[in-house]
Amino acid sequence: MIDDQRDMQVDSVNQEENVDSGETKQNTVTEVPRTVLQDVEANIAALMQATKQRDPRLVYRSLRTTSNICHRLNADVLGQLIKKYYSFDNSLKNELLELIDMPQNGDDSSTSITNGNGNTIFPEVDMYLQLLLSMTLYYNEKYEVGAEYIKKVIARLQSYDRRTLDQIAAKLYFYYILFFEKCNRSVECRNTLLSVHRTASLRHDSETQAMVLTLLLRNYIQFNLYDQADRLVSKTSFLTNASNNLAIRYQYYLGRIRAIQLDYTTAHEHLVSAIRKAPNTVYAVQFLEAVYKLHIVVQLLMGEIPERRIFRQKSLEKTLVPYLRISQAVRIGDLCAFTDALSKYEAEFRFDGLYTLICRLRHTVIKTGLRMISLSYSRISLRDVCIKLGLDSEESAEYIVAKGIRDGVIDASIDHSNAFMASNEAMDIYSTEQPQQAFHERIQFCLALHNDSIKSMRYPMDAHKSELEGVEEARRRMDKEMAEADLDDDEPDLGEF
Amino acid sequence: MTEKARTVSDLTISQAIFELSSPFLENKSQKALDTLFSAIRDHDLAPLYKYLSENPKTSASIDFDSNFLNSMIKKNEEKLAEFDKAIEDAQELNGEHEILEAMKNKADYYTNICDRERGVQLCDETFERATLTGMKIDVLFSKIRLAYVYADMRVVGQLLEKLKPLIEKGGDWERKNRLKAYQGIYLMSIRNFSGAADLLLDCMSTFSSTELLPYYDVVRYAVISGAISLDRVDVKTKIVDSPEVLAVLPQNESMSSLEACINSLYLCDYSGFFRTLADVEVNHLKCDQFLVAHYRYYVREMRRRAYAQLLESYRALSIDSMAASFGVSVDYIDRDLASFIPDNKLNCVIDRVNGVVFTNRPDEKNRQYQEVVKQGDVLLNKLQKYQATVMRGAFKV
Repeated sequence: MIDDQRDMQVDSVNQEENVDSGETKQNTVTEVPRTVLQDVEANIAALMQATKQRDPRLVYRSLRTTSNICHRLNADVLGQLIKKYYSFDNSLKNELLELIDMPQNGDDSSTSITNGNGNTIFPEVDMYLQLLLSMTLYYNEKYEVGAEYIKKVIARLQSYDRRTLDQIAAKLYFYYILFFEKCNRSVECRNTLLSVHRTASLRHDSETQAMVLTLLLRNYIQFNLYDQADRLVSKTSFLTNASNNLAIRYQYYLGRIRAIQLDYTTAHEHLVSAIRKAPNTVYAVQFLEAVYKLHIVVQLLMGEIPERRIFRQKSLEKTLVPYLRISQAVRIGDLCAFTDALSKYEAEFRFDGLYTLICRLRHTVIKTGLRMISLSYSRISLRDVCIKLGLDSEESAEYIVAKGIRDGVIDASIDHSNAFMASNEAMDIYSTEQPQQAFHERIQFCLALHNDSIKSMRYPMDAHKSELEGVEEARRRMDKEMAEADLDDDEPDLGEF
Repeated sequence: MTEKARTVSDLTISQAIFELSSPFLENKSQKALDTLFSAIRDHDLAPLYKYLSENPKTSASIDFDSNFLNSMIKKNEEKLAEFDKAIEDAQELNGEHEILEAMKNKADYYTNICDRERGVQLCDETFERATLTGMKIDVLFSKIRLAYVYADMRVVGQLLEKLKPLIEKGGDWERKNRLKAYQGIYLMSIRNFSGAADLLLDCMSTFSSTELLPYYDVVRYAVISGAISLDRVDVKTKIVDSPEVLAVLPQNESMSSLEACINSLYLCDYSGFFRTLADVEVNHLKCDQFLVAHYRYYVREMRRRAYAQLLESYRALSIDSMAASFGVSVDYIDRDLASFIPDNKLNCVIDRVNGVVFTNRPDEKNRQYQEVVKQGDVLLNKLQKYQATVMRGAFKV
């Protein structure tokens, strides 16, 4: 039951994250009074052009407006589109019309305008319409029907082999999984996804490859198959030219896997980069929530205290309250407060799937308490430690202190015979390698940022030619001027003679 | 056509409302009720009466009398009709300036009777119409007063932001002083004690904004803010020896604990300090509308200052003697110190086995290193966000 709800939540995260809000809004603002039909037609035209020019960017652009279109689509418009574009194949047309509960009034040829190729349809346009249709089904919550339908679509999709289809294909796989997850049948998809991933890698279809990879990770994590997920990650590579949203999602899943595997430092890196790259729009709020929650827990597990600023963000303030309580307990090392918060918000933590991770924090709380003690006291008896940390006995206090010393949590020593703990003087941090490492990490980050920025610069195809022409022109002009100057020079000479 | 100004200040009213609506101040509620009603009766504050009877927190203690309300409303309307007539006269006979003057008078009347809705509306109209900066400033002050009466600190903050550039452009000394008082109170309410202390101590000698709060309250707030934010030398010159403070504190019975608290800290009488601090907490912090939210912080910070002041002179000090000088138990001192040390608020460590507190000096270089790393990370985050936007922009082309 709880699992179910969590799925739903992550689903919506994913969808909404897909929408590039700024772009969508711009389009709707600048071209206000366009109807949905016109928008779709415009996108289809763009797709046909993209196919002719083999330009993936046009496909991206039309896909970006799709989500917005989809929320405005209704059965009538879809019906018109289907009648128009599938006029050549009556059985297919009727099948599609049935899906959206439209009357199949046989052959009204009035709307059936033959498109470009007479009695066929561009695969791109075909798949795009299927995508619209499946999105509509999804938003109308017809999951069972949709699952069966999209299975057929995927089968047809795999019969095509065209590079201009890649982006649309990726989207279709995304909805494929969503439908099956809603029907609790996502296990069935795993093999299909794996084979799709294989094919996509062979065809250098980076978009589909990245999408399917994230979907697979999501699938594994959902069923707590962290080992398999880890193996998948180690055997595959995520392509750097995949879209930003996919990259962010991949980072989030990696962070999740690493956190479960106790590798908090790596998890932290992944999550930080996911947060940094995530779009800061309303559509991404739920995704950001999920990332921030995990990030807070990982930070706590690393022994760091998340900044108060994170909890103050307007959009996240409410949902992060349980995590704030936990962080506060960890910060002051108060075991009672921690146990209280844990039992009070248990449902929320389970819902977010982070309960096990948070349970690991108990040791961190004790450790923090211990560190506070070692900072405040140069010498303290074990009995006092025991009382302050709320432990059962002096002996267990001694063990915990010993473990803390061994793990490097505190810099202290135990005097067993007199039963006290003595902390050593605070060290000068500059006598260690720590500052060097910290600065090194940050410098590396800056260099990577610089490289990325340079790589992402775009050089228009023939830009250098116009520059060359400019040079050519300048040279001609100079020649001309020099010639004129010669003439000028000549004249007085002539005059003198 | 000048109306006699209200003799009860804005903050007295809002403080009384606060006392009336806080269940833990029950012993003060009767007095607050008297204050409010004498003000309402004397100045026909119909809107305030209506507000009190409708507010669920205060309505219980009010015996609503609609005749009383209607008679007040009638008086208000009569006055307002006079103002309207003045405005009409001005429109017929005089120029723009006189019209504005009349409008401002009417707005002032609204402020006087605490009519927030209509007052703010008229203030906005006048503000739009006014051309002189002085007029605009006065109108804004009226709006701030209305916000203060109903203790809407968020609005006060916004209005002060709006007011500051105007004052810089064309405020005379009187208005500048007024701003200091208004802003000082606001800063104190948002826990910016050092900013509040500067402003309030500064405006004490030339204080004239009695419409906002009485003089002794300004002094009280200035002393409270100053005690927590000024260092020892400044406390001596600006508070302990200040003629304005000396003129007010010893005169008022209610301020004796505050005075004793400041003096005992200055004179290193720590056990007296702890006792008087507890009095201050009860008499000045917990029952004040602005300070109640900060009393925990305030008391803790004052304790820290006392500890720091004591430890400043010693290299090592036994916990027993420390506890004795503060007049509290060893356990209490131990727990309290231990809560300050990990946050680097006190520079010392405790040797619990031998019962000694050792002081140490703060490590400036390490602190700077932590600072650099922290602020650097914020900068890097911003850079990354910036790059993400730029790249998405490049992608769009």
